[in-house]
Amino acid sequence: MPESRIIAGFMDDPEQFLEVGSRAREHGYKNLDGVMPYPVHGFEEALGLKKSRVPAAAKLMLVIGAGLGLLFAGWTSAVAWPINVGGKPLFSWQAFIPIVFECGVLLAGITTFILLFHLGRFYPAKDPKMIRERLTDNQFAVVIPVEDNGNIEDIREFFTKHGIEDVDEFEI
Amino acid sequence: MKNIGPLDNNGRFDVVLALFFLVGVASFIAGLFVDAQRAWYNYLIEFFFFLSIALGGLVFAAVQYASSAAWSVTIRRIGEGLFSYLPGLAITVAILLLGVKELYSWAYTAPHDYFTYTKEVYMTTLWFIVREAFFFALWIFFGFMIVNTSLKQDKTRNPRLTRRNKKLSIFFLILFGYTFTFSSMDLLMSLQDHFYSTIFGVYCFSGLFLSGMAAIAIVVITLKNRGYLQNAVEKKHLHDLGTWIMAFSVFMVYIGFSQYMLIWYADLPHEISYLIPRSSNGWQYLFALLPLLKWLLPFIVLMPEKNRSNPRVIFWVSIGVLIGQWLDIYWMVVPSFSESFRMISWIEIGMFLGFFGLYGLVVRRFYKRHSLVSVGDPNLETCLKGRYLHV
Repeated sequence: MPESRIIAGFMDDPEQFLEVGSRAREHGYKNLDGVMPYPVHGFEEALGLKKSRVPAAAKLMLVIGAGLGLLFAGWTSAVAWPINVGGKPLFSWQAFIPIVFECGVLLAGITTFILLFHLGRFYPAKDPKMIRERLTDNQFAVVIPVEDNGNIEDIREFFTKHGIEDVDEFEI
Repeated sequence: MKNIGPLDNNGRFDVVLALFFLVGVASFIAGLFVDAQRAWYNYLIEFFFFLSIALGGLVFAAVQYASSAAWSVTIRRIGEGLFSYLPGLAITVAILLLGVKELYSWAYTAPHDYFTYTKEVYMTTLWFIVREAFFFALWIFFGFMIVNTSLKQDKTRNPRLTRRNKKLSIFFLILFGYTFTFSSMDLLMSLQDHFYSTIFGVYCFSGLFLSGMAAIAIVVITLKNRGYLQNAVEKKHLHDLGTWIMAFSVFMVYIGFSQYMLIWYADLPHEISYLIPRSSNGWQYLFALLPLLKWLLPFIVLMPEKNRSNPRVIFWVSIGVLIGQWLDIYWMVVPSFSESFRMISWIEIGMFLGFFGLYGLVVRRFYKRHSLVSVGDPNLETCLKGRYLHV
């Protein structure tokens, strides 16, 4: 990926983060991003991010995983190696429910995990290019890419206008 | 906040509710002459259904106090209001105790086998009455203490009252866990004379909490549609309420399936004697309907975030959950009296209307006297601004 230039404004307050984020969106800045140490409710709306399709993928894989689990449990206990347990029918769905549930959750969980790494362009041993360490602790950042949003001076001015002193440029 | 004051004194509703109550009394008395046992088990069903809603409201409020939750400050008073029926419940439980000899086989037959002999000490009419009186006295005491402290805070705005309610709520929740388990054993489990199961109380509790949440949602949305609670209960609060309903529907099906699967798997005489009458002779269709109404409906419908904050969706899902809860109690009670499936008829509907009328009258009386939002709570500002970050 080619390097691109971003400008980040740092703040300590999650409410200010949402406020500045939504102002930036209203101002017309595109492809905004936010960095936060924990999920702040409502940041997708504030920054105008697109709805993630990860949940849909997880749901699909949940259904597939549950179906495969049912097939597998049914096949092992009724077809491949039938054992009479307490006189119950060989294909007893009641006994399979925990397995079906676990298989569904497992596949959905793994899918979510892999997808998040893929969408974040992250893989083991990658240099994470952390723009500031405190973002993993108690600081929030609204990130505005320079290419899509005019010149650096305007963006810096936008941040100062909304009371953010701590503004920095980065190459990522 | 606008329109959070007491409910308007609209006489029309009260007249309708009073008529419902009279219909219920009439059908109960008529039922006693036609089929006394049927009248009494209907009484038990309605009694337990409304007990679940009333206690569900109080448990909801107590959980919010115990966890110092801020998101629910504007909703909490609705839960406290649902509990205000309990004094009425004290009277109805007194009437229920008159029917013990009609309802419970341990009360009208002598012990005749191993299971009934081992329960003989515990299951006596006098001991039963003493236990129920103790449980209800305990709940009413704690409920009054919690609600009165909350009402006092409306006037004095003293933040220390919240701390007092927190302590009370923690004590109440611990005691409630034990007392409700034993009470549900007495009232419902002992109908099937051989049956004993340790998860039964938890199953009843899951239904209680789910139906309490559903009732709170219905009351909140109805009040909002009538112009109350404006700017007090907003989209974000409804969203959290919907999330709770969805979460507890999963809890309910988890407990329900745990009970069902273990009984089915182990196939022990004292447990399977509960399940066999309830999954044969037509009862199996009702059994299959329960998880659909109490779990699948809220789970699927409330899964998308859009639906979870849509008042109309939450309202109708809650109605479905309450129907499911009623049918669940019907399914737990009636197969002990009738082997073949019994359709719902005039007596069920009449007595439901009766209890609904009584319940509505008492709860409306509470809402007419007190503010719908606990205005003195120190967390009110946080709740209104949504600054709670879902804690």
